[in-house]
Amino acid sequence: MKMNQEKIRKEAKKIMDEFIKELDKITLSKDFGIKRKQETRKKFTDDSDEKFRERMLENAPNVKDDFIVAEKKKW
Amino acid sequence: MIKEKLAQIKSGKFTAERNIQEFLKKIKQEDKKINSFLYVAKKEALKQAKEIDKKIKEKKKVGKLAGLAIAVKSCISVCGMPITCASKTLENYKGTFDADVVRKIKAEDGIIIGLTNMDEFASGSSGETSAYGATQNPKALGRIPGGSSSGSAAAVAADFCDIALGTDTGGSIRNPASHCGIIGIKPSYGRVSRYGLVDLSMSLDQIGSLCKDVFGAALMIEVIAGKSEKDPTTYDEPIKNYSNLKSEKHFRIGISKDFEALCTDKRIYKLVMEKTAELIKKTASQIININLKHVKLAVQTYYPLVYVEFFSGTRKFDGRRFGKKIEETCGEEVLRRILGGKEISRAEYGGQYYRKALATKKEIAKDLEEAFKKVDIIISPVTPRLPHKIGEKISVEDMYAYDAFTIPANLAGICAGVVPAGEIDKTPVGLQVMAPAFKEDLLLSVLNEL
Repeated sequence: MKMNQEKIRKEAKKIMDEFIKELDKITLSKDFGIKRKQETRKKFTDDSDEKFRERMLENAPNVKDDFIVAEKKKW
Repeated sequence: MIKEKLAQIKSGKFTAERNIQEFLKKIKQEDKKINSFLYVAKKEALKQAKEIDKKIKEKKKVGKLAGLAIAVKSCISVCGMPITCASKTLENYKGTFDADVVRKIKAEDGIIIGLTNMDEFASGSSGETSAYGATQNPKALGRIPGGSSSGSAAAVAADFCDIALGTDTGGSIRNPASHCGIIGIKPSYGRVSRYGLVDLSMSLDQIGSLCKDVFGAALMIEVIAGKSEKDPTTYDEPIKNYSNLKSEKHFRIGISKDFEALCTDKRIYKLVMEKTAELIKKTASQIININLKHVKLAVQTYYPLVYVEFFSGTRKFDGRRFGKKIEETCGEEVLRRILGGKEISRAEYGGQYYRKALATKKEIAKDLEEAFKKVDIIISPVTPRLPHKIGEKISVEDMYAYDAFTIPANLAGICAGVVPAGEIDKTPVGLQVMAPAFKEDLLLSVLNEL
């Protein structure tokens, strides 16, 4: 779909600026972090079946010899 | 009614196969005009139904959802089925595993009947941003069904399934439930695993249920709730027997003038208050006025969070391992969120947009926390206006404002649900009940009284 990305980016920025202007009107606490007891994810049970790899490769746009092929020099 | 149907299936008086066949027939005949399903799992559903009937015939134990037809929003992974998120980006993508919620439904003998239409990547409040066409509102043809769980709500309202799964980031279950005249439940954040959900905004998303009756919606929450080792944001809170709905009385009901001020169509507020008055009479409850001074900033707080988290979450759609590159294939609203999120995440802004939104989020949560010291539940409208006509041009800001009443529950991580309040101009209008985090049992009891 061809869309004017620059126009949409500017429009989105304008909306964000208007929203933040509203938030600027109130006094905010600096202590807004989320405190959680546990910060790291525990290792979980791997319940993938033997066909998982097959299904994953079926979704890949470009596959060669059991590997996903991605373009070079574009990263 | 779900309870009665379940009893009939379990007793063998009504078979799971017949249940599925009747829904499939109705979908085939009527969904062309509603456009609620993106994929109908005819073969898989009938196979599973026969297996369940066989178990019942052999007097083997069956699950809590035995033989019921469950529709799933197209952003929740079901192994082997097309998980498109209603986007051309994932047009040919098939789920490689079952989401935690889907695994639990299958374990309780629920039958996945298909995947529903939705706003593209859950980015919308009207059901119109789907790359596969807008969904119609079965209860008000020509009008939007609401979104983003548009297809799930429409499928329930049109009697295409027993229960549907939706997702709710800022109101995406409750908004369409209201417009389609059904029940919609958004559980507390961390109540239901998000493993296998294609996220819109990871700090706010929650999977919930849509159904025509409170029992069915409650039963689904009972099945899908719980701690998951695969979703570290889930809490190890006890899961109560939510479907065992108790008749309770003497609620302290909070209402806020701050919500009234935001309601652009005052007829909606009046209708919701009339329905609340009925509840008060029925349950000998009392009204307490509460101050929620920051809720007027809910929309302005929510969108910077969503833009940034969505931009981050969509970086995996680069067209290398699956699908296509998102920026080249998505619709306008998705692109707006990606480009907007990218823009305000730039180093030169030092994270100020996201940080300010996070700080205001905390203020809104504090308002609700204070309110819940004085009241048991809070009642409000669901949307500030009636659903617009499909295709009608409305501004981005007006579209975002649809969720002004529903966003606060997501920002505070509390649970909330919607029941029909009545109709205005032959269009369904819902009533929202909010309850403290992990008080789903209280929430469902109140919804059951309404």
